[in-house]
Amino acid sequence: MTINRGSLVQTLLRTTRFGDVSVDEGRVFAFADGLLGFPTATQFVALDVDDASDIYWLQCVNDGALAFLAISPWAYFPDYTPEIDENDQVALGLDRADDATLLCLLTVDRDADLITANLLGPIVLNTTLRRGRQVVLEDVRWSLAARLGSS
Amino acid sequence: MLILSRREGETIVIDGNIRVTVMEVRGDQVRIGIDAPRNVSVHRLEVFDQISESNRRAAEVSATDVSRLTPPRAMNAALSQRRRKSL
Repeated sequence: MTINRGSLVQTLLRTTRFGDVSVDEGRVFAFADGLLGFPTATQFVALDVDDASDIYWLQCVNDGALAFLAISPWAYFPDYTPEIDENDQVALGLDRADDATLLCLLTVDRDADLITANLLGPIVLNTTLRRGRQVVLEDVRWSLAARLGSS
Repeated sequence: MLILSRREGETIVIDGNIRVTVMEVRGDQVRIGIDAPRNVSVHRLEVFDQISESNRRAAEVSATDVSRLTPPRAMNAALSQRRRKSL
């Protein structure tokens, strides 16, 4: 369902976590390859968790039940220095560092009260071209499940 | 599964534009070169499977789990100085 509001095209998105969310189509990120294991999840929006923190919900536009909690990793992992492969940069149309934003997906183990971030397969966004891609880093130093707040 | 025998230096072509070459065979290890268009993603299967599984678990995070996230102290200080960018 689309609603025209002035020049903005808004799409009403039915989500399982957040109810109906109005999404400005200009804010959608196109993930041409989806995410690993989710090849059909090709459109996402970044919803703010609150006004202050670098934490977002990556809500899938194709599937209202699919959303990922994602953080900007450096507040938690200041030594994290991912190197984005040239092929990934080309796929994202990235030629200026200013256009790039990197987020890491979080996993929660409720029984252990443990939150981990995926530093090995981060999400890279081109905020100008509105493209996104899950990249796989060559450097195996970066953990698939790095514990948050363990220090 | 199609099975082909190739020697070192020999190549197979997939779909006209993906070339897979056996670069080197040494003991039980084979080095493979892949020449593919930039929009074709190539992964080691183990890593692909691990990240897929991690994504599946990440997709189970619920809205209430956010409260478990406590920003690190250094971040709290930094946050009072600046506004984060909206994506």
